[in-house]
Amino acid sequence: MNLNSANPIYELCRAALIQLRGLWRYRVHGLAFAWILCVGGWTTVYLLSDVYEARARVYVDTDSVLKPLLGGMAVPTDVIGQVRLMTEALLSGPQLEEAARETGLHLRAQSPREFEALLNALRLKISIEGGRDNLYTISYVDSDRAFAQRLVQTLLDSFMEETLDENREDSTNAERFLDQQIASYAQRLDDAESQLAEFKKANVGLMPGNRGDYYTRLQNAMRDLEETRAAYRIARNRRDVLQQQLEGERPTWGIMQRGQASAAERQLQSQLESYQQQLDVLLLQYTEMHPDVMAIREVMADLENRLAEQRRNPTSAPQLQFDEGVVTLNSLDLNPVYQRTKIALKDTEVELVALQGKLAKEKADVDELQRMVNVIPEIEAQLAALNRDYDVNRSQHTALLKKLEILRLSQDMGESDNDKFRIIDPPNVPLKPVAPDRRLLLVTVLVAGLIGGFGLMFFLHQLNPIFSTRQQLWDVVGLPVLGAISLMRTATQQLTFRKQSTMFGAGVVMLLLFYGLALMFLETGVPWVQSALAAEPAL
Amino acid sequence: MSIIEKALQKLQDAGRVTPAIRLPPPPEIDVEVTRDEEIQGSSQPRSSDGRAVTRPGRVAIDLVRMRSLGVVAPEAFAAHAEDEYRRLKWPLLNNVMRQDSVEVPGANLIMVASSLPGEGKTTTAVNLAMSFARERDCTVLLVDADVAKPHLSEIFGLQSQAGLIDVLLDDQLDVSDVLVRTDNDALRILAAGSPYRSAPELLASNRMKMLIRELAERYSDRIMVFDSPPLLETNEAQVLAGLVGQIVLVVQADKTPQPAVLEAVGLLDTTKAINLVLNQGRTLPGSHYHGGYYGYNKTDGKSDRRYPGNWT
Repeated sequence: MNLNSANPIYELCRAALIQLRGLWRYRVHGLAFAWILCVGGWTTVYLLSDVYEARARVYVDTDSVLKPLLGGMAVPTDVIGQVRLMTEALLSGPQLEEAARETGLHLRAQSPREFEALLNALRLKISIEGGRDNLYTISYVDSDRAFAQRLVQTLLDSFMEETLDENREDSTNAERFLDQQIASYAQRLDDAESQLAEFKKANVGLMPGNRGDYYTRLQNAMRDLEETRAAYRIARNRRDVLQQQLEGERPTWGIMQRGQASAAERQLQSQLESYQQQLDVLLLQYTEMHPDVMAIREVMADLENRLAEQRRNPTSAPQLQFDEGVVTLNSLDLNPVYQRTKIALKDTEVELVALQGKLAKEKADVDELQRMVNVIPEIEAQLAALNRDYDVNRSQHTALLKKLEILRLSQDMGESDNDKFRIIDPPNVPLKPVAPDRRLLLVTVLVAGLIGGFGLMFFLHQLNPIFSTRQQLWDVVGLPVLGAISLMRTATQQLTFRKQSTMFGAGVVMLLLFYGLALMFLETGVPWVQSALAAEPAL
Repeated sequence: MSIIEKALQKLQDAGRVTPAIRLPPPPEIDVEVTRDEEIQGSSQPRSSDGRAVTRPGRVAIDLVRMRSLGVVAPEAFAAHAEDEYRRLKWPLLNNVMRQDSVEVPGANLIMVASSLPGEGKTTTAVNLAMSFARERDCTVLLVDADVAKPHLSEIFGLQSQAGLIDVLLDDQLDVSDVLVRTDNDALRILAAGSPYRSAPELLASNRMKMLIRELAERYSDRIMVFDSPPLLETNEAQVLAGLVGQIVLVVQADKTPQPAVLEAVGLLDTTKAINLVLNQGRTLPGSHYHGGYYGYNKTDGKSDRRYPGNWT
């Protein structure tokens, strides 16, 4: 007996209505359940304590705060990751516990475990959002307004102090480091200076000074030496010649008794020699027939005659103390040329001595300079090195001093303007509670109650299946269904039915009325109920 | 209808008396009830408790009363209700007609049963019987086999009438002695009888079986409709179910739990022709039947057709 049509929507509707018919027999149960749920729910709503939210906005330099936490790992660039880490940073440390103690949270706990539980609850209730542009919003909800504000404030304060301390510590460390460095460099500088001074002192004669480069000096010295040598040689030659002329070693004018040649003899001798020389020169060019040659021969012959004469007849000329303290003044001595020669000789000898001295000195100089060929450049190099060291040290030292100055300046600045952590909006707790939204909750309870009642009906219906249609009879029992008989009610039954219906309707209406009352007396009722029952504020 | 009844009816209509199911005094039947044990040797048959039972006369089918009890549909829907019961009876009649073939032995014995009490067996039985009685060439015997709670007998005012129990107890008594005629010739009623403590055992006894068989043979041209006790509450119903040929299991819509029905069906002999009837069903949209939910309007007894819809 298949009464179904092929239309699925129709079937769906029919099936739904059949189900509803089955549910309907439990309507009273459903209503009662709904009543229980609603009344219970509304009472709870009345008993809920208001919850307030404290909010504060802070600026946190995410990187610098998170870096030490992550110990080398990269700071996440996505905001969500940053916020999460920031939350950990703020809440996992001992700051939370400190803040809790400071604000008196621990008074709410009876035992350490309870306190721990309270702390954990606290962690859950503090939420951190934001993260863009390093701005974070910290919020905390609690039923106690003042407490919420205090807690957030304390938390922020402690965190700020900690970062401040860190900052301070950092700069103290930096300062200390710099001081150390500066001290060491100063020491080095001193050492370098003293070394330099020592060096200069030790090699005072070898300092470049105004003399210029060593090699130039050596060259000059050698040149001087050469010059002096040349001068000496020349002077010596001159002396020798003069001497010879004076002593008559050159037999220029005849035979003479050695050792007793008088000045005149000598003079004649030298004249003869000079004429001889002239003759030699002339003879190179001209023959004997040349007039000059003949002239000179005549003169020479004359002079020889005179010389011989002189030697035969030595005149008694006054002698002067000359060599070895005895100078025999003779005619020769009175010869002006002879005198002049003698003077020249003296001069030359004097010069010679002077030159000797000079020579010696210059030789010594050269030797000295030569000797120092290897030494002076080294010294100069050393000096250059020492100078360089000194310069480098000095520049480092100066740089460090500068850094220290900057650090000190920034520190002074930092005391009043913390880079890492700044409160932008201080904790603020609005007077209006953030939860619970009682109106919404009332409606929700009503709806939930109705649904619950309906659910109960459904549940009971499922537990006790009945037959609503002939189709069901056929489907379930499998026996032929003769037919169906309509519902009939007697007057009494009708009355009862109406009474029941009215009561049921009244029950539903009352429920709605109760809801209306609950809604109306929300403002006044809540405090009254709460104070009447002396409910503790929930944490 | 007696004056007293009329008066009561008026009072009901005026709304002053809330009628409980308080039955009016039994209608007049020509039965003399005497507790005179000293009347000896009466030719009249006696019931088990010594009452003299005369051949019962007629009982009037008081439709108004039955309407007031809710057994019969209100007037405005009489035709509709007739229609419904007609549909029920035809398959049953079919089985009766085909009795000559082996298919349904004892098909003229129809038991109206239910799993649990209060599902509408009696109502169904009565209406079904009345529907059968309208058939031509058909006579119906309506038997109140629910001896523990003889509602059927009460409806017809036969609660003190000797009936089935008496027949079972007294060998001397015969069914024909206690059958009650109605103003419809086709319809006869066998009341439950005197209250008897071990009535269930009695009904389950051999005597009952033999009686039924006898009835089936004697009244093979009659349809016998048995109003039986609930299957799950009593044992004798099960026994009776074994004796009849057709079983009409009444299931009350939106009330009887499915498992109960299934259990009841499980108790039945599946070789019998078992049919189901959904009682007190409400309408659902989109059904094929023409029907409606109706009930009484308190003030004028007129029916109050509220949801003209279709039947499931």
